[in-house]
Amino acid sequence: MDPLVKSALVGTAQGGDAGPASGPTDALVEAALAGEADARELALLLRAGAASIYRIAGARPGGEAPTPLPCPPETLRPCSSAMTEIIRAMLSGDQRDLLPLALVEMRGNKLALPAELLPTALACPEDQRPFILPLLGSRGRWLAAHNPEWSWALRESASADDPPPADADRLFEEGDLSERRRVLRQLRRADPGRARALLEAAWKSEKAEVRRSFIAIMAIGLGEGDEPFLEAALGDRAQAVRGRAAELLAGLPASALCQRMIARADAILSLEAASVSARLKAAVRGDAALGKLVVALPDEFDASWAKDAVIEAPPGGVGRKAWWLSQLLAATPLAHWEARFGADPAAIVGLVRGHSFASALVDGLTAAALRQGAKAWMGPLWDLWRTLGKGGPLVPQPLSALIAEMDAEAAEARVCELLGVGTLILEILSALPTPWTERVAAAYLKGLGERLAGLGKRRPQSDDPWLESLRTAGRALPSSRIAEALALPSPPAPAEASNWYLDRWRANSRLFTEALNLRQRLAEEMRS
Amino acid sequence: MQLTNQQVEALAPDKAAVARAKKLGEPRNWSGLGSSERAIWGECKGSSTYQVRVDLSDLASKCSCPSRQLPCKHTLGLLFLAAQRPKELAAGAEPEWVADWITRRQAAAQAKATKKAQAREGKAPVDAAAQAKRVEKREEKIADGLDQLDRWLSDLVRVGLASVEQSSPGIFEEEARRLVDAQASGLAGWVRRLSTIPLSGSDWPARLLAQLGRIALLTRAYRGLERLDPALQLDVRQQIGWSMGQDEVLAHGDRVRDRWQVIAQEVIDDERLRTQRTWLMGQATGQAALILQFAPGPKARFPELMLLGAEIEAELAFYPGAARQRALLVGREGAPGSVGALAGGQAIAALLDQTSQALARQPWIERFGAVLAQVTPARGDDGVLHLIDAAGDHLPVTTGEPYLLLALSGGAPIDVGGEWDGERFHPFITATGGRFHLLQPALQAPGGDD
Repeated sequence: MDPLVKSALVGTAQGGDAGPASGPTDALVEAALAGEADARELALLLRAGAASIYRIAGARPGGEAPTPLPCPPETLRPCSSAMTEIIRAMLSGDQRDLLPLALVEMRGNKLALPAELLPTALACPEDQRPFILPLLGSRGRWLAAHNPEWSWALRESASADDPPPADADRLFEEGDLSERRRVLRQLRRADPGRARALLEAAWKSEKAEVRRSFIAIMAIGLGEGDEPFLEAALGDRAQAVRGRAAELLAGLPASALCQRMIARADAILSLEAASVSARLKAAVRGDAALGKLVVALPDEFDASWAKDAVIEAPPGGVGRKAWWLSQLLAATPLAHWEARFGADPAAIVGLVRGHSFASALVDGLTAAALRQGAKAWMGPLWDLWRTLGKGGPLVPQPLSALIAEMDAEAAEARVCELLGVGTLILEILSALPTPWTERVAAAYLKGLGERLAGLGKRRPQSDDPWLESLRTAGRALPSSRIAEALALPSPPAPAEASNWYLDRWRANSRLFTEALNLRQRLAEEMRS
Repeated sequence: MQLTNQQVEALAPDKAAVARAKKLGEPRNWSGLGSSERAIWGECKGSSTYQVRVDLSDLASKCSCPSRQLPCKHTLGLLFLAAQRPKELAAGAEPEWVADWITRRQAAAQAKATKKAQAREGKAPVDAAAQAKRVEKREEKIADGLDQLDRWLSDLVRVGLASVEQSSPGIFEEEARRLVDAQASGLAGWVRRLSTIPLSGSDWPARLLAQLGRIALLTRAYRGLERLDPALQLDVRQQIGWSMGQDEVLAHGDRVRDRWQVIAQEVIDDERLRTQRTWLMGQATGQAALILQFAPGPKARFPELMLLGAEIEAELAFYPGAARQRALLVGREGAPGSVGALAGGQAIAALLDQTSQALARQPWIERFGAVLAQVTPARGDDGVLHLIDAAGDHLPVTTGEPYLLLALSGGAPIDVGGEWDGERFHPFITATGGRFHLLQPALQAPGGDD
């Protein structure tokens, strides 16, 4: 430490002494203070003051200069300044709902995030990273290398869709969880057997939640070769891993688990052929009469079921037997029923309607359809659920889950039919892929227009799905329909002093228009 | 002038006002939008319709709404609209309510200037004897104040600066008050500012001692004022507290006309006084000028609006003295523009030479506004960001946004405007791709976050 600072810090009274005169100012200082009180203290101050001025006046850029990291040239296109301002506002929280949409469109237009927004973008919440990543460009990755907290941008620059890297094995052994999951996904896509072998080697030493997260990845490229591994996983210590293994095995119709399940289900579910008179009556009506589903459940839980991840204790509000039935059905290949009853999915689902075990049956069949990707079953099941109201313990939101998995055509037809009669179910609308197709958008806007037109005369409704749908619609409507949406009438001003219902409509409608306006501007800027 | 969002945010009283104004910045809230060389205007539709007009020469505004907040949310909304979607404000003829207002403003400014000039000429003759008596009395007070200050300084060093850890900020406040009583307001402000040093980083004792030493030098200099160069005398007197009247600066200061770029700006909020330090860089002269503005209380507005990144055509009068840093804005001409490329850039060696020459003329200067030409930011082994110029010279940098500076440079040389304090360069602005970027966190909400 500078002797002057040291003396001043401890104090001259405590023996702090500036030491012998050494600077060019000492003589001057001495002359200036000759004979004064406090000469020692003032001398120290004057010398320190002069030294500080000398230091600044004589400053030289000393030392070895740090070496700048070179940044490779940018391959993406730059943003316009107006676009920069829009994205800046979105990153700081304005219209946050639209951010993913804007970022995806930027990616489509091969635009890079502007340099000035990179620090904010790199500090984004984790769920935004997949959207930010492709827009970082070489400048963004270069910048990320300067801050350890941004290393995700370098690590995750490979996506799960890319082919596995050459050092996949090493990455899987040494990487962190997100990296290992990514490599495993890539390997499953390219070479499921090799991925399984890697997993098997590490399996025993992994924690339960890691095992669960890895086994879920086995769904990618699932094949008969996976059966022994999955069969072994049925004996896993963790319930979640056992359940997942059983689900995956249920997707392999030739697996031993499927065969066991078929045998169990056959013992429980059978078809009682229709009587001659019933068949005649049905023939007169024009349908084929299959008969009646007979459910014969044992009174006791079969211990062998537990080995195949069937759970004995039902969740609250569900009967024990119904719970067993739905679980067994969920793990049985649906093709088995088509072959055994000699009927198509619609006819079999028709048997469930009005059955005393209807809820358990439809829940189990729906879970099976979703797990097995049995698209032919989804439409009839959805139609049945429409009449039931609420979901079951295995599939709590069947209407949206089925819509999301169904053939696009079938899903659209169902959504449009509902919208056509003014019925909107928010979860279903949200489950549709975005942007909505022209057909869905047209039906939605027509329904919305009618709702808006009749709004003045409507009784306030506490959970009006149309009112809530505006937020989803703001980002889901296709660009081609924005102009049409903006041309819709505004909700009327309330006649009385205040009307919470109309006020909420006006507020949501304003947000809706703002979102659409912003999208229009983005589209303009994107083109320029 | 192309406004930016950041600039408009800087005009807002707080973040809540920004949010409200941004909502209003959508074209559908407006009708009759337009712009001319000297103004922008529009009518904002709300529960009733308000006429908003902004004079582009100084961003002064008038809105027909009853709000007493300045600028009101409608004005800020119009400014956001102008920043985000300039195309919405098509050039056109000013409506009467805009043209009238601007004309009235200009007439009022003219009348004020004339009146001031007349007042200067026709000033009542000064009672020379009475004034001399007042000056003499103040000199006595200051002399006593300086003696007392010397004793205070000596005591600090005698007891040891370590004691300040406990006694700050009280002792600085107390001493500053005594200096105010002694009519040495310049010194009082300096002593008050010292209270921010203790415990601010491990080298605080060295920094505090350097400041105390400089104060001690100043009191010595004042006692021997007649032995100093006449120009330096003026600086020393000002630093003690003999403030120079604007009339005096206008009468005797060097006048410089140039297109000035606003390259650095800092606002220091004190309970009683808001101080704004603004550095201007002359495009033709390459001369840096410091404009100090004061306003009473935390949210108060400063008389002249100077936005970082703006370019203003103006005449300045430098305060007479040896330092030739501080200046007074005599008058602006025309509407301000935006910085596209920074002027007055120099190499690091040139800045350091200039610094030593300035200190040789006036040793109490603390900060130097400057533009560093073509410097590349890079992190040293110590983690500190440095700016490296073409000659390989480099300076350490202090900034709240080191990554922003890095991002904008992309590892390539850029021009950076800011302040050099003898130890660190404080960057405020850079310009790339034909537009400027601010290097400070966007909104320093004076009223705090709400």
